[in-house]
This record gives sequence, structure tokens and C-alpha cells, in this order.
Amino acid sequence: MRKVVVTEFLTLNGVMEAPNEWSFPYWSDEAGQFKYDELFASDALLLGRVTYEGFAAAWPSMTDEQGFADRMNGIAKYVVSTTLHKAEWNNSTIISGNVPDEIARLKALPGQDILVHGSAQLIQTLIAHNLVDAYRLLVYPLVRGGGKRLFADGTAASLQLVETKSFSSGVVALTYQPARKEDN
Amino acid sequence: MAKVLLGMTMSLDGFINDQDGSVARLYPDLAALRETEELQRQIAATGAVVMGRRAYNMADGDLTDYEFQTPIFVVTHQAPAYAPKGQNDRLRVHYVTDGLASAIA
Repeated sequence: MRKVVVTEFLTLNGVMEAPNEWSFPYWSDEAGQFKYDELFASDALLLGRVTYEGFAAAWPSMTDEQGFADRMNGIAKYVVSTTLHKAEWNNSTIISGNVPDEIARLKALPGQDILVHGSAQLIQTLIAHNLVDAYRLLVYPLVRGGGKRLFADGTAASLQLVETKSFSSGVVALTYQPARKEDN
Repeated sequence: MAKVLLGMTMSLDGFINDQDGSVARLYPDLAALRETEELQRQIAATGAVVMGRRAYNMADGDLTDYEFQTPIFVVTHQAPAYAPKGQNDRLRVHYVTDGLASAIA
């Protein structure tokens, strides 16, 4: 069964919004390798409409020596939206209804991980339906006073730490999976 | 000069207690936490503890076996009438009623 992996850049206080405004000064080869390994262990992106539109506007014109952008542009994209009628980024499919069932169906197909970037609103749905198999969080050494948080107010979850990595930039990579029921 | 460190136990989403003020979920096993290398390191490096009245109230006036056996400075508007329990040669409670700056100085 494929895993749904939520991968986010986070401030220490759990804000995920607009990492382009705060994460770049901490970029490093280590972080790059982390994101590269993650992407190449995946063969699909699952995105909310807002994140999808941002990505669809940016990625098609990008290239890099490592082939990261080619992979982003090539792999399957699933965008969850009730308002979007066209999804023109290469290899995109719109999921407009029965979201939990559709995602459960994707998970049952053979393949690699399904990556969720950004997508604050979609993630709340995934959490509510126990569809997240792993969280891969790059926690940055800074605090933002406001912005969308990964875990919205009222969310409760018990997690099991799977792996930690510290980067010399001060960023910490934390990988969690939902705790099994008996661990709660 | 001594450094002021914020020693916090925090949930992944940035909370240090729940909406009722409880910290129970953050400390599922306090005894095991005390045995950890990190807490032992903190205990060895700590010369004094400054806390607010709410944190102090969580101990209910009894600091017997508190992990930090150091002078404790409790910042409060009004010192409690009762004497705290658990004081000894190392752990002594001081109520600071003239402001945080005074507690740190």
C-alpha cells in the first residue's frame, strides 16, 4: 500500500505558510538532499488547489542539473478542488468529490509514496480521515507571529517519532507516523 | 554572567499546556523524563529557577523532590501566606513581588 507523506517546512511554532518568505536563508545541500531523496521515493503529488496553482505557475519553467524540476513536472499530480475545471500542469488529475474515497483508492494502487506539499486545508481533511501515513517536517529555527499552521486549532493527534536529522543550518528534520491506536 | 534559559516542554504544534491549563499529555512519564541524559544535563547546569505564579501553583506549595534543587524565585504580585514544603539547604523559595527584572537581577 502506498503511503501518503505530508512534507512541510515549519517554523518552531508550527506555522507552514509562505516558507518562501523565511526558509531560503537556511537552505543547504543537506536540505536539498533530503528533499531530493523524498521526491525520488515518490511518484505522485497530492495537492490542494492553492498550492497546486502556485506550483503549476512556477515549476514548468524550472530546470536543474539534478533533475528535481523534471521529476516534479513529470510525475502524476492530483489536485483536490471543487472549483477548478482545468488542471494544465503536465500529468494532472482533478479530484472534485468523494475525496477520502478517491485518496484511499490512490493509496491502494501500486506505486511509490504520494507526497503532500503545502495544502493546509487539504491536510485537515486527510488528518480527519486518518489518511496520513507519515509527516516529514523540516523545522526552522525561527518563530512567525501568524500564518496557517500545519495542525489547525482543535486538531489532536498522537504521533510516533521515526527519525530525526539535524542540519548544520539549524534546521531539524523530523519524521513522524501516526501512533498506533494502542499507543494513544 | 549566568544565562537565562527558557526550559520548555512543547507539543509539536507549539503548545505548552492545554486549554484547561493541564500539562498531563506533555508529561506521560515524569520519572522516565528525569532519567534522561538531557534533563540530567539541565539539572547539572542550572543554578537557580525563576517561575511565574501559575507554574508554582502547579506544585501546590510542595517542592519536595523537585528536580531542580536550587534557589527558586517565584514572580508573583502577592506572596502566598503558607510556607512552601520541601525546602532544604539547596532548595529555598524566594517570592519576588517587585517585578521580573528584580528576580533576574
